[in-house]
Amino acid sequence: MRTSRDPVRVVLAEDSVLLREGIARLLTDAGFDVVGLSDNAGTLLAQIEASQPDVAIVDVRMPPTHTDEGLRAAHEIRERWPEIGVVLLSQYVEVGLASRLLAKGPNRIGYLLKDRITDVEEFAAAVRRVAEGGSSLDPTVVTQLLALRQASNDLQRLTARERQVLALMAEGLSNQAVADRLVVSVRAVEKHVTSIFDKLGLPLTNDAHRRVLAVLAFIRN
Amino acid sequence: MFESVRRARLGWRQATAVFGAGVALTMVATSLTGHFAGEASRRSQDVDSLRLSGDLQSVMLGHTALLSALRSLHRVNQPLTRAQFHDFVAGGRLLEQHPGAQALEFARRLQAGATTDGPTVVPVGFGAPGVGPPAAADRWIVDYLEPLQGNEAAFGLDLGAEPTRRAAIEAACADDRPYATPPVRLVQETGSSSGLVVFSPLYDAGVAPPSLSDRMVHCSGLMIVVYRATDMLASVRDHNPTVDFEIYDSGPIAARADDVRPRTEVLLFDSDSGGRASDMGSSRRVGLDFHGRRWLLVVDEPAAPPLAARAVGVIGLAFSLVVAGLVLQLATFRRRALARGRVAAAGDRDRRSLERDLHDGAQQRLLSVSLALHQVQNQVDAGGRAATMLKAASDELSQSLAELRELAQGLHPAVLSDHGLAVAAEGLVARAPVFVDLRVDLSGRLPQPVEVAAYYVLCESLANAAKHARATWMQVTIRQTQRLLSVEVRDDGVGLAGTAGGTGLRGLADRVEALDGRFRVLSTPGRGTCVRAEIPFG
Repeated sequence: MRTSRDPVRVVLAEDSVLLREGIARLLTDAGFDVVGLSDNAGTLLAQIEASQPDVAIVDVRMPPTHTDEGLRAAHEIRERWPEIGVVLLSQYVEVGLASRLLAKGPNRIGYLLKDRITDVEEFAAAVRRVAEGGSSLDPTVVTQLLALRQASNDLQRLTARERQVLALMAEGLSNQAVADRLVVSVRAVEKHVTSIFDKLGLPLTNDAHRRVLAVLAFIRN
Repeated sequence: MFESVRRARLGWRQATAVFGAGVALTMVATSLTGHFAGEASRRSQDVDSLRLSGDLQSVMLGHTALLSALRSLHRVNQPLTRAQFHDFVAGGRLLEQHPGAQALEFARRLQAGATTDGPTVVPVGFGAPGVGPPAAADRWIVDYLEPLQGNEAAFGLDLGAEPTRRAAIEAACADDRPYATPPVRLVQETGSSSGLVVFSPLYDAGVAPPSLSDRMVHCSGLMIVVYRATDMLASVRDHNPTVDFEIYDSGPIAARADDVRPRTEVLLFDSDSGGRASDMGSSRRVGLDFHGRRWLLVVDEPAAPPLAARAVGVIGLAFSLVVAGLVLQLATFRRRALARGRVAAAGDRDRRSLERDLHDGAQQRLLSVSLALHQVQNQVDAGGRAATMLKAASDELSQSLAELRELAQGLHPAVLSDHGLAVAAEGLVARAPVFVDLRVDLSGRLPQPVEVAAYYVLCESLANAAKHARATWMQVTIRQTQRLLSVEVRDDGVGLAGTAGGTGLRGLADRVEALDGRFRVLSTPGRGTCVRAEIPFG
């Protein structure tokens, strides 16, 4: 069993050589232990079986058809090894895919635009979050998910700031991370969170992780 | 009350049914009255006359062009030599291109009292060979002649010696334009056909002097086309084999206005070689001008078949023509719509491949460059100038990546080809500006063209509803039955009548119909719009 001091063990499936090497290097630099590299779903699954990593980072488009190979692999991973996190990387993000991924539970799942890797710290944090059982959704997708709930009166009752906090929680951020992002105190964030949960009629809990789940459950109706 | 903007898609079966009904109607009409037959016959005679005179005029135009060419030849080559004349006529194959033209000639004018200096051939007059005209009159000697073979008899001829020709020549000189003779007997003619000679005047200075008297004095030669009437007009007969007609020469045009004497009509051409006399009482007569002559086209009424049979023929023909036209129009309409649909599909494939190039090629490369920049950033002094520059560069790169993604998405909806219609529809609905109730019932992926067509139906309808119909609520239903995909978009807007939504809808209809599908828009002012597409697959 991994302790919190051990480096997070990662396998990476990405068919572009340049990108694969680049991501592997940035993960290594960020303290991850990259235990497997592959350029297709088959090899990826074999590596996971052999090395049992904490998290798999998977490109959605991979050979042979370059459509949804990565997505299918992700479903298989979650099916066979529910304790292993999956971060899907894609050239574009779509709300329809996000809701399908979340439908099987918002745990240990990440869905990010590939561009996010260039913000190394945030990307590393997102991968770490998923490895630790949380979720990490691309802000673009969160915006679209919220748009789907636009008509609901509940959301209309939130203030602009509260909606901002809600969106960041939906991305998977902890209170501390939300506070860092908005450059406010954790205390202020906690106040917003209480207000949001109150207005949306969600059960309040002290567990940051469960709060995120509640928010996601609410958003995807 | 719904106004239906339905795209007719009549097939051959329907057209045939219409045709059958038309024929039945014809029979009834025929048995009721024979009156229509006579009327229709007269109409058809009118149509014949129009077509014939059109054909005749196009023949005449061709010959006018020939004369202009000959005159230009003279204008650019002064003096014109026999060799040049030969090369021009033979090289341009002028005789072959102008049916009925027997000979092209150049005649030189010998003023009264002047002696022959050029040609060696002694000019002779009409009638008795070797007998020259009176020295007191001008002589018009045929100097150059193409082709010589068969036309030898006309070579060296004095055209001025024959009164009909002399009249036409003088008119041509006076008016500076071509004049034709009435039907004449050609010296080279061996059969029974009438001939026509058209004279075009040439002047000393190359251009005609302004005054009439100067024109008469300075006209120095003639370009001449000699026609055999039967050959010249044969093409008109060949184009209209079922029509019986004659062409008459009824005298010079200029004399017509004040000349009250009964005109003599000389037969130029008879389409019926049997020589049946035309019945003037039931003929159509059309006047046409040919180089100073008034010609008369006489179209004879066809011999009358039994009245009932004739009526069936004429009206039946009219009906079948109308129906055939309808069927043709429909076929063309549908073919064009199909073509537009296919063009759209081809465009889809191109855009998809471009989208892939951008996403999987350019974007991935830029990303790895971006990563490399970050590596470098980590190794330079955080506060230094290099770090600032690197930061600016990588920000710029991020911006480019975002733009590239937008561009690729705009080219082709990657989500559609990668993940199918259901996932793509959710994205469209999420981005719609108003609430959309989405109902999807699909069992899996569908053929690419079907998905693409359905996707564009959704896109366009959602956009129309929000933009033009000012809807506040929409419902999208995507359903799949055994071999049919149906997509329906309803809204509560003001309706699409008279809005800019029309052109987009037309494109959608083309796409859907190219796949043998059905496309329908139901729209009522103030009561919403319903767009429905049904596309077969498998």
